[in-house]
Amino acid sequence: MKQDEGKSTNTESSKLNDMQSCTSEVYRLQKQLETERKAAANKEKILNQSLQESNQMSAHLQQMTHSLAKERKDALEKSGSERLLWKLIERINSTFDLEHILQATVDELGHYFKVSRCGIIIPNYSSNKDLVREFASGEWKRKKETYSQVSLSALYKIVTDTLKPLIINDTITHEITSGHLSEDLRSILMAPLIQHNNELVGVVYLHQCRNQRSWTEHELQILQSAANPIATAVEKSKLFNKAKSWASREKLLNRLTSRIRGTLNINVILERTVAELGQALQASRCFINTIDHKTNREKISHEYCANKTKPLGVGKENPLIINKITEKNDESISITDIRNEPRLARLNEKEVEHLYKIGTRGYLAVPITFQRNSFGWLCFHQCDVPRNWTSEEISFIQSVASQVGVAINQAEMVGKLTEYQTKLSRELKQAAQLQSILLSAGSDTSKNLSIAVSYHPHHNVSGDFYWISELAPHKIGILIGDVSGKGPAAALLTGYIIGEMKSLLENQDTSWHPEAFLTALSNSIYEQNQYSDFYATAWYGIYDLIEGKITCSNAGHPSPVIIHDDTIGKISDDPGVPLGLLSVQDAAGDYTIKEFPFKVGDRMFIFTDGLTEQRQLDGKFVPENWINEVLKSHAKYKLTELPEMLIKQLNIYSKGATQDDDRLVVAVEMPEINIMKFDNDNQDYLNTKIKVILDDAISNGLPKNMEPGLKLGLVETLYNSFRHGLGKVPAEGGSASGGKDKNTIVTLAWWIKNNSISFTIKDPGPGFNWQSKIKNIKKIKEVDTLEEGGRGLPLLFEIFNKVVWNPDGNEIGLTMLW
Amino acid sequence: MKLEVQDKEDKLFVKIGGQLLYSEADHFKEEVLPKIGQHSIVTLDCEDLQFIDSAGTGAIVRLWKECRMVGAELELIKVIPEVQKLLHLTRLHQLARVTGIDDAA
Repeated sequence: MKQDEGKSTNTESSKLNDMQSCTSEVYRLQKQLETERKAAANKEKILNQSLQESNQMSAHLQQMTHSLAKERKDALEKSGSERLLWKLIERINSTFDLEHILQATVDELGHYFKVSRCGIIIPNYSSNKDLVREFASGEWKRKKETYSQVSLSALYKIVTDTLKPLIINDTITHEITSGHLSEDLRSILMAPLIQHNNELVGVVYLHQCRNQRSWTEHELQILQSAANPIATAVEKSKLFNKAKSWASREKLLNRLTSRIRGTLNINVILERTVAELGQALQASRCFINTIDHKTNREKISHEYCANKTKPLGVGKENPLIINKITEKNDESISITDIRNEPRLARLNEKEVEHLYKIGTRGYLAVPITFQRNSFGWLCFHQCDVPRNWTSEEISFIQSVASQVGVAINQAEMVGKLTEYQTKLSRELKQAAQLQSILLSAGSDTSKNLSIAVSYHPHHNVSGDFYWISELAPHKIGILIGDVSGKGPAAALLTGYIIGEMKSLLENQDTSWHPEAFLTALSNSIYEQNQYSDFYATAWYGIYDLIEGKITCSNAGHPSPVIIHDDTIGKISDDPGVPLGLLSVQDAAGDYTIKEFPFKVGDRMFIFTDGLTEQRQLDGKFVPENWINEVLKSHAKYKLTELPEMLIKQLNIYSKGATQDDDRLVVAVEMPEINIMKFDNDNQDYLNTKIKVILDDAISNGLPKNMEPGLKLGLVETLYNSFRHGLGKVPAEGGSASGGKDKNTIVTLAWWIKNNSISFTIKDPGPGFNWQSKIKNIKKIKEVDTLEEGGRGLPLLFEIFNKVVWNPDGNEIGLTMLW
Repeated sequence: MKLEVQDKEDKLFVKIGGQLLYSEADHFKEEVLPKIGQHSIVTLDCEDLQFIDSAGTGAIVRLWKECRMVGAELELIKVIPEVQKLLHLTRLHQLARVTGIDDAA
């Protein structure tokens, strides 16, 4: 437009004279200007209107921006609290460890709320030892001892009583805290941790120090929102720990139970029991108070003490005392705090003083019983702090106490058993000694027959036995036997048999007749054996040194082996039934008497089945003929060496297998003997012959001063033989006496050994009733000196140490010792 | 057995030798007992007596009894130790006075 105005002005200047045209142009221009002014005014009006509208719009936008900003702020706050909650829940749910849960709680909340301190308190009613954790920033950190006391504060009590949050925006002005707290702690927010059943789990608190802080509703809401998952996590952890503790106690109980059942060493068990229980229950002391039923006194048998706790002392007398506070003596006694126990009023001052002295606060005593027998108490002390013993703990300890009762009972039984076994063992040793003493009289091998014995009992007391009896100097009886079974019972029967055997040996009706002997012995055992199933095998033989023969009977015993004329073999002694199995009626005539020649140099081996029924390592029996083989290969051995040699060889034959049974070997050998025949009683003849014997005795050590007595004894005996023996024998060929045939010969055999001389003098007469003669025999000193006769027999008993006759009375045995 | 009997007034002296045994006892009694009369002492010289048995002892007891009946004392002298032992054994020394051969010497 400005370009157009410039062009018109230039045109008007050129046409200066044309005024009209100018005026009209001005007019036109004025008009145009007016029009333009009007347009401009319209435009301004429109602009003003637009401006107004724009202002309105701007205000609206501003309002919207504010609103959006607020919404954004709210949203941010909300997401922050949600993030906190998620993070917190994630952390506290990732563990069952209560400590960890509490630490995560105070860390997260403390950081989130940006407070000076954040803490959590989980009360422990059983131990009175609350669990407290506190997060604090910088200078506001406190010692554990300090913040552990929070639960004692009035604020804590208010929250736990009301179960509602406590909001203190300014401690200086707040009515509860005004003047009570340090000025540094300005604002407090405390909220209870409550689980779904409205049970208090603990308390969480926020402290703002120095600067006052007004807790917003939102903050309270957040804290309360966090409280629920915290309470749940704490409870879950507690339950988990409870289950864990229960499981570990069960495990402990199982361990103790199996230990108690698995071993008899009660002391070790109980020592470990108190230690493990004390540690498991975190008690200051755990001990067992045992009751001595004889004295009724109580003492500590085993004790565990935690560190720094003074022990009461094992073995120390320790009356429980607290059992007096209850009527019943078989119930558990639990005391939370000795210092605050009303039931102690039942005790006297000294007793209370004693309880105080031992330094315990919490006391738990559980009776140890088994089958109504009370053995004592299983006790726990909690020193320094009170302890509320939970029912689970008591129930657990009761279970342990019952196992301890089993253990003690078991130990007592073992003790009694051990005592009994010791006694039995002692008695068995005594029995063995007694048996040995009983048998020793019969084990003397010093006889005119050569005898050697080897005896290896399998047990203390043995079932094998042997007895060597000198019936007369020339008649040796040997009994060997084996009682079925081994050990004490067999030994008892052996003892019985020995007693019976002795009395049978004293009776010539049996001792001189093997078959009668075994029959009588069998019958005696049978009568005593009604109530048991014992029996015995036995072999009894009588060796006649003058006749050179052996007569024997066998009751189920292994037949002896004889070496006769260089041949080795078992004798055919026709074994009968073992002793004690059949009555006399049943077994009448069962035992047969057998006779075998046994000449000078012959040997016989009598043994028990320990030699024949020995097993080898592979379980097979040793070969039957092993004894013959050994005897054959050891023929040149001395008799005394052979029994032991047989035992040694048996060990080789059994290939090192352990001994199965008692081993007994009796070996005998027929020795050379001195025999003299007398066919008349001519004094010189007698003197000459007797002198030979006396010289032999003197040369073998007979003291000279004993010679007259010996001669007197021989003269007396020989005269008796001639007087009562030859005179009455109807000699062949009609001669009444002094005949030369064998029936008129008096035989004298003598043996000198070991400071003794023994004789057997046999005459062919019918003998005499010596049994009645000696019944009232007097000692020579008691014979009336004025009597002209009656000195013969008393003199024999005075001169000789042993005087015996055969049953018929035509053989006399005399033994003199010096 | 050897016997030698000497009758000297109120003393009867009997010397015995060898052995006084059962087989000799009766002979001893038959020889000695009838000779005992009014003697105050009967001496049995045993120097040569080697041995005596219970029957011989009985014979001496019988002799002692006979002596007592007549009021005589019996003594056994010169008894050798062996016989002395036998006499003690039969307690004959309690009846008669017994002196040993060593005592006599």
